[in-house]
Amino acid sequence: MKNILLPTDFSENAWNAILYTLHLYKNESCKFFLLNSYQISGYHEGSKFIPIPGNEDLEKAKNNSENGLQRLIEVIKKGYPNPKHKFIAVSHNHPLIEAIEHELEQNDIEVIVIGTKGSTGAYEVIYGSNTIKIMDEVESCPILAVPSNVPFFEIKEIVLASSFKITHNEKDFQYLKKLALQTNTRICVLHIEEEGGLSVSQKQNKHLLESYLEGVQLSFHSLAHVSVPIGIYCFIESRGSDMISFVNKKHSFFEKLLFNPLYKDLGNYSIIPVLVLQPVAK
Amino acid sequence: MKNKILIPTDFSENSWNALDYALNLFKEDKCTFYLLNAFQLYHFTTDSLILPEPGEPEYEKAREESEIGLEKFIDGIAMKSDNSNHRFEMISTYNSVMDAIKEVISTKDISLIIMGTKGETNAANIIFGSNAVKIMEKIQHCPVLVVPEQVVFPVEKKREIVFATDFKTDYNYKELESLISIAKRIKAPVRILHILENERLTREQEENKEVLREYLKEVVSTFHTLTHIKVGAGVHSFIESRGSEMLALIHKKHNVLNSIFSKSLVHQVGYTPKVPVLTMHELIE
Repeated sequence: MKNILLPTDFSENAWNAILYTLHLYKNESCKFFLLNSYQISGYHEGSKFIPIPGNEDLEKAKNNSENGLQRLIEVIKKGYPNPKHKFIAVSHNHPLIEAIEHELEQNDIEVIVIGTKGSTGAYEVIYGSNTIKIMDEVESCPILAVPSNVPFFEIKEIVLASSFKITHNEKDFQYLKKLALQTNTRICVLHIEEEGGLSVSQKQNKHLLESYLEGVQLSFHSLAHVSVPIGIYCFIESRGSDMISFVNKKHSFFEKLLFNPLYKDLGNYSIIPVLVLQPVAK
Repeated sequence: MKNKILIPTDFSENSWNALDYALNLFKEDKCTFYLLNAFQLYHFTTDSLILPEPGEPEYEKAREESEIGLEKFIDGIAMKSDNSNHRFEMISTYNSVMDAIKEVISTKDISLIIMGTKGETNAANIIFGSNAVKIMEKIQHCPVLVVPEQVVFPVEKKREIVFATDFKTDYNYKELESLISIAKRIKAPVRILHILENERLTREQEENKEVLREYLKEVVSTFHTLTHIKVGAGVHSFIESRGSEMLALIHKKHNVLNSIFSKSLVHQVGYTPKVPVLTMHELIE
């Protein structure tokens, strides 16, 4: 049984991410945790200014959250019935990140899937503030961000972008490997060449990666004479890849790629799902 | 359609490889291959004032070397392949390579030139052999397929031709004929790649694109766009990313071909063509 966390604000984007996930896991026995966090201006559990229980606004928010989740589960069960899928409604009066952290502690969550708005212009808009926060602050679980306009749910190819500069732990790629095997998807490891070719340690890391991903349909690719974001963009756009994946390194590569306004109109960054893998804490 | 293929050769490994590629490309077709060797004498060129005369020992020696070379070449082919569709003719001529090619094109009604190239050389700047680039640029009336030395003919499932174009040409079926016939012959889909310079296509470009779509109806084709990248690097990245097997371009002055092969850009991007390049020429009214 796999545990998957689906934060939702009942928006179109969140709904699309749920549908994508149901499809991705259609052959797997899963427990889906549908999480909604609600707050009323300034008050939440644990805050020093505790609203009096029975506070009208709070009760209302709580009811909205709980009823919303129940309705959501009903709609899923009716529209997308799958005997392998179970749903659990989780309603929290916490800020979103705390609510997520709480669930990660309580349950052995495999992945968090969140919705994003897709290509609409400014990056703050593509990746709503919640999405950015989650990707920025949650460090203990892989995160899959699904744009609302993702054209196909079927996946055939995941691109794993790597500089080979960091020696990773096998566990860092555990989720990616499981996903690829489970969906019978090939992984294309993409490296953007720098002057001078691979160093000895980069070569070692590349071999290590190859051994970690043994058993998966795997191919290695490199592009030269392009910057990292442009190279990745060209690669996925040229091949029509279905998902792009990174191991998260704070304030680097990944951020440059996703959050640099310069690249906001590079189509596919916001059209295909992005899988953020988290390095195991050393 | 009669296939008359011109293969200029200097008997090198490269030209042998180009021939091998050509034989595979036209495996199923009735085809005449004209093997051309142009010889020149050390001191003389066709323009020099003192012309060596046929009959002079120096001239006769060079001619003999050329003819023997061609015969050996043909013997080599006979050992490799016995395709009854294929005929071979030798042309040994005293001329510069360029002029010899021009002459054969006009007298033999050649439909395609296939030639080898060294690809990378030791000199940092020279990417395609200078002969190859000159021929791609200067021969106006016949498409040229240049095959880098390390290229082997691909297995069927990997075949795919990238046609890089800016939609700024008034396409004409005749210009595209060599591309279409190769695509059909090797059952390769055509990936039409446009490197977008501005936000969107102009109306004229949109119209040209539609015309192109119409012309390419006979083959499987898809349209692709890359942006935020220079033409040379974009084409290169596209081909590398997909593992495509051939690049096709229309040559007109100051267009894609120039920017890919001009030394400055080559220098900047370090573009080395690793796949055969088919150059078609804009037909000038």
